[in-house]
Amino acid sequence: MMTDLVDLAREALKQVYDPEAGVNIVDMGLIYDIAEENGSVQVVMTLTSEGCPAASQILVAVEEAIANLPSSPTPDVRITFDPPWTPEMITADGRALLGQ
Amino acid sequence: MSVSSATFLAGAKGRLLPASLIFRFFIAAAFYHAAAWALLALHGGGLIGYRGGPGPVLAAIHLITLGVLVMTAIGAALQLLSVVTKRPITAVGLCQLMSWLYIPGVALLTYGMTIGDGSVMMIGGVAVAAALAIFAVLITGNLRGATQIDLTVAHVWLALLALLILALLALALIADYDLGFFANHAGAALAHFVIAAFGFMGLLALGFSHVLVPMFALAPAPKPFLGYVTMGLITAAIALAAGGALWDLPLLIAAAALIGLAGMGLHLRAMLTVLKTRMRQRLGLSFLLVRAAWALLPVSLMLALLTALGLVGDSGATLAGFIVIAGWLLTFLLGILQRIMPFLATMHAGGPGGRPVSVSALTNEPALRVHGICHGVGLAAVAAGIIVETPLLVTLGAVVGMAGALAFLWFAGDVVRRTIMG
Repeated sequence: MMTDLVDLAREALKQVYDPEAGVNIVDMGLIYDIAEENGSVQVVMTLTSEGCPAASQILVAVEEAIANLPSSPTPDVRITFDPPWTPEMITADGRALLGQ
Repeated sequence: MSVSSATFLAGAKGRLLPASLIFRFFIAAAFYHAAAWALLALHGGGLIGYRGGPGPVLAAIHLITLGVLVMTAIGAALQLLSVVTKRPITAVGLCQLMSWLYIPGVALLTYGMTIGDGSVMMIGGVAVAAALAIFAVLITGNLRGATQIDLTVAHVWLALLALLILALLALALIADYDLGFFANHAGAALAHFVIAAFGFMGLLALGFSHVLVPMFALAPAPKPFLGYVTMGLITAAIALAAGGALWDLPLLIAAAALIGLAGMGLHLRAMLTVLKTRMRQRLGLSFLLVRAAWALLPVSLMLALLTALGLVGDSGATLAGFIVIAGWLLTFLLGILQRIMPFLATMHAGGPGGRPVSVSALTNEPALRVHGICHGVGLAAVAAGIIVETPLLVTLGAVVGMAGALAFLWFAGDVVRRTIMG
């Protein structure tokens, strides 16, 4: 069940896109960790830069994606810049979307 | 260490300026862009062998520099500087005041230049200078709070210094039309041109390139050390060129061109390294323009060098100026603007469920294709007209350029329309 919810959360987050790159935030490598505990889903993520002007749009979309999962878990989204995001964090799927 | 999204967003509050504020600068720039080409189309013959002085050509030049380049730089810097310094610009009222002074001020100033009326020029010039003073205050306030002085921030500081000098020189040049206190008006005008093109706009273009090019290409940022070396070389070149212009010392200008070539060579090498290591393969039309601008930059400096050494005639200086403003700066800026306009618009556009809208959803590709073709053809025709001293070629090139500018206006208007409609 735990794994299922984490997997569902990961899939839901694939519907949230970095507006500039046009790639979902999972394949952009912005999601560092997803965990489920006591009806809450904790997402540890980063942004492409600390001053990212799209931060509020992305974070609101992440919270909505988690809250809309079948068991309506409470989203607990945490932001970290350690380690900072680099383009090398883009997944193979993400690179394919970018034409590599 | 991590923080909750609520805490992070509280810190980020106000980072996004109102869309109407930022986009009024971009839309005004698109209008002035078309107006500049239109003015050149009507007075194409005046560009050949142009050596300065009031009239439609001076107005067309300033419609591009103040109306498009600086206008866009203001809009972009207000929003993008917060990405670099991690500090929002919160004085929205001052930003509004700046737009009310600057946008009509440019119209008044260039109208005064067109009809050769010093009083009208002065009123417009004072409005523009006042707006730029507000801009400098806003940017200085933001930079002073930056937690670290990185490469881009250092470029912006130097650009602000250049802005101060060029604005004072500009007002002095306008006053000189009536009072005649400059012993060498043409030299002072050339110094003003060098400080504006390379000092203010050039340093902003170089500084923000270190952020924007890696961001758009999804590539690691270049190593900052060479960026500082480039910045030092360019600053030295600007100082030498301005001095050479003021005191009529062509050899100093030639030395400046050589140092500038070395500095720009380092910059272009860094940018090409960024592109080589990029994750995003399809960079689209915008980077075609950016690459063309990069190619034209050393061409303009070579022409400046040959002109300073007396190896080409008057047309060499005119061509160098045209390539610096329209070939390098305008082409580069239009390439970047067609990326940042929809990018910034995505932050104000609500997709289904409030999710971010993609840049491509807000981009009118056919309009950009028309613009890209017309811009390239227009530049080539005007440059050819200057070289072979044929006014008809300049006029035809300007007409094609204007068609491209109208296509860009269509794109810009469409970004706003699609943003509002969601």
